[in-house]
Amino acid sequence: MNEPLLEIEGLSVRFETDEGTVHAVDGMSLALAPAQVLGIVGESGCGKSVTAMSMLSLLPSTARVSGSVRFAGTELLGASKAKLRQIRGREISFVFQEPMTSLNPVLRIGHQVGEVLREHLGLSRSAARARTIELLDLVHIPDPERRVDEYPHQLSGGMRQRVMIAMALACDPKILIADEPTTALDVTIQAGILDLLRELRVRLGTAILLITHNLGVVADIADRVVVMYAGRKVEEAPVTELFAAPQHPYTIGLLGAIPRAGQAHNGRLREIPGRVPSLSEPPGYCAFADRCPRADELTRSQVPELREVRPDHAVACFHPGQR
Amino acid sequence: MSYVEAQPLSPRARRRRVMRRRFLRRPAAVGSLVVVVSFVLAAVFARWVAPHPPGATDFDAILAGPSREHLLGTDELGRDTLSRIIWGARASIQAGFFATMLAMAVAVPIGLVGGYYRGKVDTVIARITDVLLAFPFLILAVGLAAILGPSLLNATLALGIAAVPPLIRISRGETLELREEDYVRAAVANGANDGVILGRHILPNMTSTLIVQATLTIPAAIIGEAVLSFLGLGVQPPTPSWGVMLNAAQPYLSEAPQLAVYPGLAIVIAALAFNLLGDGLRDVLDPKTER
Repeated sequence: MNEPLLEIEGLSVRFETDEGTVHAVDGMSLALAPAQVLGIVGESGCGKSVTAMSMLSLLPSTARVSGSVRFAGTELLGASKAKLRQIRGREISFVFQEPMTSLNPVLRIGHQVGEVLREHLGLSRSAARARTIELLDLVHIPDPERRVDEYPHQLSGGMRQRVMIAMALACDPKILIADEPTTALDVTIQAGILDLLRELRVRLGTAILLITHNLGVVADIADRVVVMYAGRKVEEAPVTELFAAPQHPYTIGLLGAIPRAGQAHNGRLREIPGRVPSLSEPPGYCAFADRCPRADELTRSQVPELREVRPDHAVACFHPGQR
Repeated sequence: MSYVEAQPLSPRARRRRVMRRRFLRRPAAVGSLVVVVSFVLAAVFARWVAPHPPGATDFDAILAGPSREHLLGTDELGRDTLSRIIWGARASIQAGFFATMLAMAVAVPIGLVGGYYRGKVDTVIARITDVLLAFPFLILAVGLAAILGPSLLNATLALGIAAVPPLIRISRGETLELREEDYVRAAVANGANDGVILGRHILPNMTSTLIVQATLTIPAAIIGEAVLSFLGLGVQPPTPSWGVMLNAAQPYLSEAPQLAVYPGLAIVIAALAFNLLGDGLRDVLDPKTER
C-alpha cells in the first residue's frame, strides 16, 4: 500500500456533559490510502460520525479531542481556523445523511454549488455556473441547465443527495467523507448513489471514507472495513477477508443480523443480545463482554488490544475466531 | 386535436405566483394592503392630494362641521382637518418606516453575531436585552425622546432605539435555531467562512420572520409617534401630525369632538391595516399554512 493520504492515530473524543464525561471515541486509529474506499461500520452511537467530524474540527465546542489526524503530512487537530477552512470542502469534503435538510431552502442549487467554487477557487459567477452545470451532469442529474436554477424543494431526495455530492466534489477533493449517504433514501435510489460513488472513485481518484451501519453498502463498495463498537475499533480487514472470515464476535453478530433473500433463517434473524453500553463509564474491560457469548474472566478484567490474527486482519478480542 | 402547451415558468416566477394566489385568497390582507398603500401614497403626494395647504386658515369657518369646502370640518384656526390628516400621515409614515429600518439595522447584526458565536458576548447581549425588554416600548421611547429633545427626527430615533430590544431577541433566537440546521453544518464542512454563513445561509432564512416583524413594528412606531407628538416630544405645532392634532383638540372636546375623532380614527385605521397586513404576510410566507 502506498503512503496513506489520511492517518488517524490514537484519536479520542470526550464530551463534557452535565451527566459527566462521555467517551465517544477512544483510541481510534485508521489510515486511508489515495483512491481507497474505507468503510466504517457500527451501530448508532458507536462513534463513527464523531470520528469523521472531529477530523475537521466540526464538533461542538464541548468536545475534547486528542490524538493525531494527519492529512498529507499536515496535522489537522489544533490547526488554525483559516487553515481548516482551506481544507474543508477543498481537500476533504463531507456528504451528510440528510439530503432533505442539507440544502439551504432559499438558495438555488446553482448558487449553493457555485458558492463552494467561488469560495475556494475564486471562480467568477459565470464560470462557477458553467462548472456547476458540469458537476450536476457528472453526478447524473438530468437536464442540468434547468436544474441549476431550481430550488431544493423542487428536487427529490435522491436528486438532492446527488446535488450534495456534486457540491462535495466541486473542488476535486482528495477525500470524500460520506456519512450515511444512503440511509435516508429508498433502496433503488440507494443503489444509484452507490454506483455514482464507485464511478467517481474510478474517474476522479477520490478516496472515500464511507460511514454506515449497513454492511450491505460496505460489501457493495468498500475496499477495506473498520468495525467500531462503543467508540473503539474492534476489527479491521479488507472487505472480502472480513466477510469471509470475521473474527470478532460482534462482527459475526452483525453479519448474522443481515437478512438474505433465499436463505433460511428459520423465520428469524439472529440478533445480538443486550444493549449498547453507556459511553459515560468505560467499564475498564471489553465493552462487548456483557453481550458476548465468549466472555470469560479475562474478558471481564482487561480491555483487549488490537492485534493481527490473520494477514492484514486485526481484531480487538481475546477469543477471536469464526466460531 | 389541439392542446395548449404549458408555458415553462422560471421557478422564481412560479413561486411568486403561488405567493400572490395565497395572498389574494385573504380578504383582510388584501384590504389592509389597499389601506396601507393609500396611506403611503397620500403621505408622499400630500401636496397634490390634500384639498388645502395644511396651514391655510379659513376664518369664515372656525370649528366648522363637515361641508363641501371642508369635508371633515375645520379646527379652531379654520384649518382644514382632512388636509391636516393627510399631511399628518407624512410624520406617521416617516416615523413608522424610518424607526423600523433603524431598529432592524441595529438589531439584526447584533442578534446574528450573538446567536451565531454564542459565548460571553452573547450572554452580555442577551442579558442587556432582557433588562431593556422590561421597559414597555412607549416608556422607553418617551424617555429617550425627552433626552434627545423634541423634533420629528429625534422622535424617530427614540422610537427606533426603543424597538431594538425585541428585534435583537427575535433575530438572535432565529439565529440560534438556524445555526443548527443541516445546511449550515454542511456549509461549514464545505469551508464556508462566517460571513458567507451569516449572510447567505442564516440571514436569508430569517427574512420572512423579519418582514412580518417589520409590519408589526411599523404600527407600533406610528402609534409611538402620535404619543410623542401628543406629549409635545415629537412633531411641533404648527406642523401637522396626528398626535399634535389630538393634543390641539383637547380644549374643544365638547364643542367639536370631531377634531379628536378624525385623527384618532386615522391612527387606528393605519395601525390596524399594518397589523393585518403583517398577519396576512405571515400566513403567506409561512410554507406550513394550508390555504
